[in-house]
Amino acid sequence: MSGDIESLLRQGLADVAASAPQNYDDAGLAALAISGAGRIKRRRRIGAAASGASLLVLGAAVVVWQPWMGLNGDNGLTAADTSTAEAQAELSMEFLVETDLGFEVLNEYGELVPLTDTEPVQVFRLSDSYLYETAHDIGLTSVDGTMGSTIGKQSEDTRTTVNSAGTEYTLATPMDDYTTETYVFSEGVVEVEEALTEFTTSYELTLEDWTDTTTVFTGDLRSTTGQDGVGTYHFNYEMGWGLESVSEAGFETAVIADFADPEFVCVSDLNPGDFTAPDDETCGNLDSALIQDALADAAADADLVSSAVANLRFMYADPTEYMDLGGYDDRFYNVEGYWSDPFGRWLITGNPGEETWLLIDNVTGDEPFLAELAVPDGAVMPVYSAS
Amino acid sequence: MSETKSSQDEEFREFVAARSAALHRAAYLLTGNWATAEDLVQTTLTKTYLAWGRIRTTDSVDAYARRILYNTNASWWRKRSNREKPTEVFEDRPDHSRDFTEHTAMRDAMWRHIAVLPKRQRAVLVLRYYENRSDQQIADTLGISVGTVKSQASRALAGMRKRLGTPASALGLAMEPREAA
Repeated sequence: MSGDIESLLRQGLADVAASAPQNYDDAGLAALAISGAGRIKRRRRIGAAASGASLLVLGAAVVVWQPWMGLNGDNGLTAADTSTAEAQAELSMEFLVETDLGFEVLNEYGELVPLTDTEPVQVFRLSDSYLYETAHDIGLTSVDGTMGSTIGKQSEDTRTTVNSAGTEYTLATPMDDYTTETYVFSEGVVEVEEALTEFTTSYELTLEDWTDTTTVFTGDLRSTTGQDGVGTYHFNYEMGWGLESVSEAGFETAVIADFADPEFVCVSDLNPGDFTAPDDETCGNLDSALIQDALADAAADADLVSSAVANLRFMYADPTEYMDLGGYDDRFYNVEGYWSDPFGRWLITGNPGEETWLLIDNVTGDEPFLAELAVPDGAVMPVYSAS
Repeated sequence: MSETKSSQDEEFREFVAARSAALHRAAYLLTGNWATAEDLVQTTLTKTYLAWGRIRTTDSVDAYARRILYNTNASWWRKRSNREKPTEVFEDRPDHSRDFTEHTAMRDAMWRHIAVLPKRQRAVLVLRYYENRSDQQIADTLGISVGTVKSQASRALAGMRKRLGTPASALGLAMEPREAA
C-alpha cells in the first residue's frame, strides 16, 4: 500500500474536516427534515391519486420488454416495464423475499425455498445450491431447500465470491493491515464441507473469476505500464503479488486485467508442479497476437478470460458513463438497495416495500437500457446468479 | 399528533443531535463547500426521516443515512457538474504550527487533486481515509463491489502519487499501515 500518500490523506482530510464550520442547529435541522418529509409525503399521495389511471395501463402493458419507450414531458424519457416473470426468464433472476417463515428464495418456478431467519446481505444461486451471506455467517442451502449448513465468517471483512460456472465459491479475507488477502475455495455443494484449496495474494489484486486451471484478477497495471506498455514486466517480483501462492494452489495461469482498461492484461504462466511463479509477465491487449500466444503457451482457459474481461468493462463503470438515466437519476441513486450483478449483466436499485425497482439490463438488447422492474411481494433483493 | 409519531420524532431528533456533526464533516469533504454541505445534510436527513418508521428499530440507521448522503452527493454532482466547479482550497482556520506553510501547501495540493476526482473515487477516499471504513463497509455504503472500491482507491492514489511525489518526509509523517475499521 502507498503508506506515504495514505498518511497524507488521513492527516489532510482530518485537518480539513476539523476546519469545517460548526454553526448548525441540530434542533432546526431535525424540524426542517420532519416538515420537509411531510411535504414530500403529501406530494406523493397527490401524485399517486392523480396517476391512478395511467398506473393501471402500465400494469396491463407490463409484458412489453423494450428499451426507453415514449416521451415524458418532464425529462423526455420514461423507462420500459419489466415483469417479475420476464426478469426471471431473461436474466435468470430470482428474488429473496421475506415471509412469515423468514427469508426465502422465490425461484424461477414460483416456488419458495427457505434459507434463513437472519436477513442476508447477499444471496448467490450456484449450480446446486444457494450461497447466502449474513453479517456474521455464510450459509449454503440445497436448491430444493431440504439441506443446509452454515459457517461463521473469519472476520467482518470476509466476503464471498462465486465463479461464473456456478460450481465453486471463495471466502476472501483481507489481513489486518490490508496488505494481503486470502481466498479459500469450496465447492458449492452442501454435503462437501472441506475446502478445495486456498491462496494468498496482494490486496492490490482482486480475484474476479476462475476455472480449474485459470484465475482472472484485476489490478492496477496502467500506472506502471503507461498507455502503450506492451511487453514483459516484473509485477510479481517487484510488487509482491504473491502469484506463487496461486501456483501452489494448483492453478496453471494467472491473468491480471487492468481495472481501468480491462482489455489490457498481463499473463503469468504459473508452474503448479514446483509451486513457483515466473518473475515476469507478458502484458498487452487481450486481442493481440502476443497475448493470445501467451494464453496458449500457459494453457489458459481463453473463454474464461475473454468473458471475464467483457464483464469487467460493465462492472467497473458507473451507469452514467455508458447511458443516460434521464429523469430517473434521483430515483436510481437515492435508494436503500443497490445491487450489481457480479458478472455485469444487470444493475438494480430500489427500496424494500416498493412495487417496482429500476433495472439496467445489459443482456437483452444491443445496448444497456433502463427498465422498471415489477418485483414480487416482500422482495428484499435480487438473487445473484452465476450462470 | 399521535403518541407514536411524537415518540418517533423524538428518536429522530436524538439521532440528528448524535450524528449531524459527523454527517456535516463528511458532506464538507465530499462537496468542498459549506453551503452545499449543509444542503446535502438537510436533504439526507429529510430522506432519512421519510424512511424512519422502517429503519428506526434496526441497527442500520447510521449506515442508511450515510448511504443516502453519499448517493445524494453523487446524484447532485451529476446534475451540477456542468455548471459548478468544486471549491479548490478550503476556507481555513489559522494553523500556528511551525510547519504551517509547508503543511498547508501540501494539503492544498492534495485537496486540489481530490477536488477534481470523479465523485466515486472521492467518496471512496473520504470513506476509507477519513471515516476509516473497511473496503467491505465502503462497498456496502456505495452499493459497489469490493473490487470496485479497491480499483477506485488505487486509481485515485496513483494520480495523487504522480502529482504530489512522496510528501511524507516533507510533512514529517511516518509510514503506517492502514487502520482496520
